Amino acid sequence: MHLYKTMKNFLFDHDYFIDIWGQCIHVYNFLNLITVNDKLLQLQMQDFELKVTGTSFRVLKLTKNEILITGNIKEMRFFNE
Amino acid sequence: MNNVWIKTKLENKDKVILKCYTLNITILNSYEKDEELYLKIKQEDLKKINKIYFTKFKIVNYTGEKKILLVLKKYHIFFFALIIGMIIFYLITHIIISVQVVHSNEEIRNLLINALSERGIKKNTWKKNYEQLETIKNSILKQYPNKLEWLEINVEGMNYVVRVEERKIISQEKKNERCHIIAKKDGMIKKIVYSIGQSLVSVNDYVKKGDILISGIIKKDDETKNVMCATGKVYAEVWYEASVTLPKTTINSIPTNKIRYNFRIKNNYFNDFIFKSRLNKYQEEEKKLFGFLNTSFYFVKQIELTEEQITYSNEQLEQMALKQIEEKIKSSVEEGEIISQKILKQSDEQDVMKYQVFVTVLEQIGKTSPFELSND
Repeated sequence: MHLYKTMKNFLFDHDYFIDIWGQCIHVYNFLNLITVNDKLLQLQMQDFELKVTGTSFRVLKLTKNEILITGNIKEMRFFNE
Repeated sequence: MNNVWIKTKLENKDKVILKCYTLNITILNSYEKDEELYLKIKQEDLKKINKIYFTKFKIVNYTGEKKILLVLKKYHIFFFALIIGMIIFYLITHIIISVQVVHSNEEIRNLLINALSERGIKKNTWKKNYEQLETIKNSILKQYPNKLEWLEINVEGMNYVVRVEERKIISQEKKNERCHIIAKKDGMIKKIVYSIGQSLVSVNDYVKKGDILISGIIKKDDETKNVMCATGKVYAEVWYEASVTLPKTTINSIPTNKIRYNFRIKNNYFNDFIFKSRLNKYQEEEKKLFGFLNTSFYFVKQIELTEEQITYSNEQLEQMALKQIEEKIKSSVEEGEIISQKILKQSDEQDVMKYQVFVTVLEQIGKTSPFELSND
């Protein structure tokens, strides 16, 4: 397990990921899910707050620190505290 | 991985997703249909989902092993029938229910049926593959080289159809156009039966081995009229001296009243009792209960035997000696019968008795012998 963790830390040497492709947005390693509905996704990240707006949002995958959303993404904003 | 699809009212969608997040429930997929929200979650999260009090969830479907089990349970009659059907199909395509030998001669048919049966080709047995059939075919042809010319074993459905060609050998006598009947042993002629040839001996004549008994040369007034192959049989009194040694005492096994019952399973690879036998020495009487494929089940009656030493009298020993010699002579003589037996000498040696017996046998002593005519 130690070897696995070392490898993982080496390969994913980032605090978070935000990937957008097509009609999907994938966020990895967020701290808290603030809001999720058809038009808005609001996530608390380490240093900022992520706000994604659009239409027809649908949760494809949701775990404690990872979310995959599909829908028409219109706008994405970062709010520093 | 066992997952489960659940559904709830669409009006609570946002609250449900947020609550799932706070309860640490992993959502693997989701969609909306007919005013309802469908969620795919892990089976172990089902307990957690019930903690969401403001809406009710209904299980729609399972995935993984649970789904397979549910399908099996739902369609168990179909699957059971399918398996039974497959077993029946397998049996139908792998079992032989009859063996037919196609030949007009009943002797050949019986001979082949026995030979095939010895090699495992009989009804209610597993079908053999091509190599095994070829091996069996060749071994039968090798066993009966003078009777079988050609053999073919065809599988037709659940039957073996055996086609055979009988070997027809032109007899040696017909081939040899010129032959005598000669004596193969010394003896005194008692009976002459012949259809072709000219007899050179009479009843009560003493002949030696090699003497011509029935000639293939037909003569009249010292002039050769015809030359052919003599056929016939000549019976003569032949004398033998035989000796036999017999023990004066023997140990005989006698059945007692103690009987035990058992069962036996017998097939090509296994032959043993179901229960352990509790008798040391016993004789068996078995009765077949039933057979399935190559395996037969028997009911076995075991009768205990005790050993008893028997001492024979002189008269008994003489009778035994004569009987043994009779059997010995019969097995060595091709065609004949014993006329008389006489004990010449008997000697008593510690545990055994030795007998020397003179035997008179009426025996067929003629045999075919080809000859060539000289140019003279």
